[in-house]
Amino acid sequence: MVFSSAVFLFVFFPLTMIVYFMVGRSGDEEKDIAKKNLILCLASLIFYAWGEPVYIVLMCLSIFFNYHLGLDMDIHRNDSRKMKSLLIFGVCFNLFMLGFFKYAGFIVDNINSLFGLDIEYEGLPLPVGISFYTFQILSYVIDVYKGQVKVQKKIVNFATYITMFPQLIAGPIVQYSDIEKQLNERTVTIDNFYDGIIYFIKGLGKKVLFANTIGAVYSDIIAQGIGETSVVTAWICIICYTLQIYFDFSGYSDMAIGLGKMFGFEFVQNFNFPYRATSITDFWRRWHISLSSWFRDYVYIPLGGNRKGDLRTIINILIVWSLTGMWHGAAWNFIAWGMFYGVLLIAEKYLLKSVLDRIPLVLRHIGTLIVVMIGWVFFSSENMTQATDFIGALVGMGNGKIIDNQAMYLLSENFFAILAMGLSAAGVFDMISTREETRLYKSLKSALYLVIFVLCIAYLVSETYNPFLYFRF
Amino acid sequence: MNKHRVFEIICVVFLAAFILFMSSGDSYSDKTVDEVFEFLPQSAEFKEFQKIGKNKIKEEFGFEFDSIDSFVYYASDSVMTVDELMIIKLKENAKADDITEKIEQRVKEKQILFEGYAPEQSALLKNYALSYKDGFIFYCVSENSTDAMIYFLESLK
Repeated sequence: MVFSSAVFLFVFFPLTMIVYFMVGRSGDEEKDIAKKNLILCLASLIFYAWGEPVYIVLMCLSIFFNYHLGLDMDIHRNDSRKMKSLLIFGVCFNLFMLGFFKYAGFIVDNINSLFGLDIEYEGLPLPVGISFYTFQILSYVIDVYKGQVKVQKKIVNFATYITMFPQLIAGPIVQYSDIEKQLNERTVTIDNFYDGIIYFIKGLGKKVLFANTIGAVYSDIIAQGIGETSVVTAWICIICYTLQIYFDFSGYSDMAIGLGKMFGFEFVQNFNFPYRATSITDFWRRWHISLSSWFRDYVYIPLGGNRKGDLRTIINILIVWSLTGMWHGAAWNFIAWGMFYGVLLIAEKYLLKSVLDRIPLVLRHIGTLIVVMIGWVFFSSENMTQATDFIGALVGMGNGKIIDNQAMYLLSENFFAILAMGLSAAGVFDMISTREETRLYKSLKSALYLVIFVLCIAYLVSETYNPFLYFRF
Repeated sequence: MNKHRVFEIICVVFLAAFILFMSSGDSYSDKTVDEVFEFLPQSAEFKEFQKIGKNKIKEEFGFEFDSIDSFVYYASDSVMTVDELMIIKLKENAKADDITEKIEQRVKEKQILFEGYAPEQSALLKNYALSYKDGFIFYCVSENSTDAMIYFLESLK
């Protein structure tokens, strides 16, 4: 089930809300929260099972295993050798699960082509959200090992943390330490609930009105063969994808944060106007923040971070970024995409820092944006051949023309949409709207969001194109 | 051995059993309908036709879209042209039987419609291709329907 579907908007979500607010009104805070968590957990399991009932088994296994692993660790808190073996056991179990369902096909394909073998492998569907919930579980296991969080003794609370539907299938990746307290005590105020609705509609609008619209333009160009296009068409294509992936993913994150607020949770912000970045380092502080933070906290720092000399820092950065690429998908183009950023970050850190400081800010914005768009070429392509064809088209090796009729048509049809979305992605509209919230302003804002909601519904009813890019991770 | 360790081992055993169970069942491809469609050499020919949307398909075939993830369907707007190509990606674990039965039913209805007075169209309809693999349903009426189906199966490898 996706947030931008009629079943979610008009059946699942209202029913869950009604039941959630009807239970747990006894006044005994602990019991009330326990009941609310149970409802949220059950609703989340239904939400997950809606699309793929079989994989609910995998998720439940993961919950049971890691819940007991946490308790087992707690018993052996003072035995460091046992703790370490339990940590290794837990990490291996979780990574095996992720690895088998996500990477087995990729590994078998590569072994076959490398050694000329013909090992048969029947591809299994990727369990939705497995990369997200595995990383959440790992954050819990590692933090319990380090003693940074208390072990969760209530299985319903633990299951609620893992399954919570607002962030289950597309993040943000919520670290257990961020939500530990909220699982036991949280309140929903009218202001919070209102903010949640605003966040949700904002995300829905980004996804449905922006990402879907601009994504259709991108898909049309790709369908005609990117290797045969003019330079301008290829750039329009990648600009469209750049906008689509931002609105798609940040829209979903906004919806998740909004839903969280309505249930009394505060999730971490996942995006902070990434296309405003002035360097690649800055970009990754603004894009998919929860994933970057996870890799920083659980891979980069434990590997030694930047504390063990330059060579080790470079190796650590390359490890983290190849893993970041692989996290996104089992394909070489994702690994290339991760390494592309790894190399750029190393270059910025060791070679370009003094140069970048002397470049005017506007040029740094533009330069960063161009590099990010080239990165999206690797990310969006089905394979490395398509990626190199795409890069070729961007530099004039497509049909050999700078601009052609197709590009003129695309520009005339989409120029204002691209401009508006570009300004929105840069946060221009948010700058305008950041002002003191008077009563009149709040009423106008509510009316505007109501209109956006109605437009989204009208779009969802009439259009069939409603993909969601980050589902495949 | 404490009780938590027992639960951990039980979970490992269940995971192994689950993987075996899943591996023995139907497989499911991660490809998109557009990728499969573009793989067919016949795709250029069908792009000349009209791309048909959800409502028209509902009307023509009577599908319920609850189990459909995505689709492409090209058909001619001329009533005398029976050529058409449809590729449907089902939602994971959805059943294909209901949809393939509805397609077969529609082909039969069309065959009855053309039988006797349009031999060329009748021959094409008798030669229709319908296949299911890895979560995809392929349906084609064309002179090259068998070739297209072979490419369809190839595209999912």
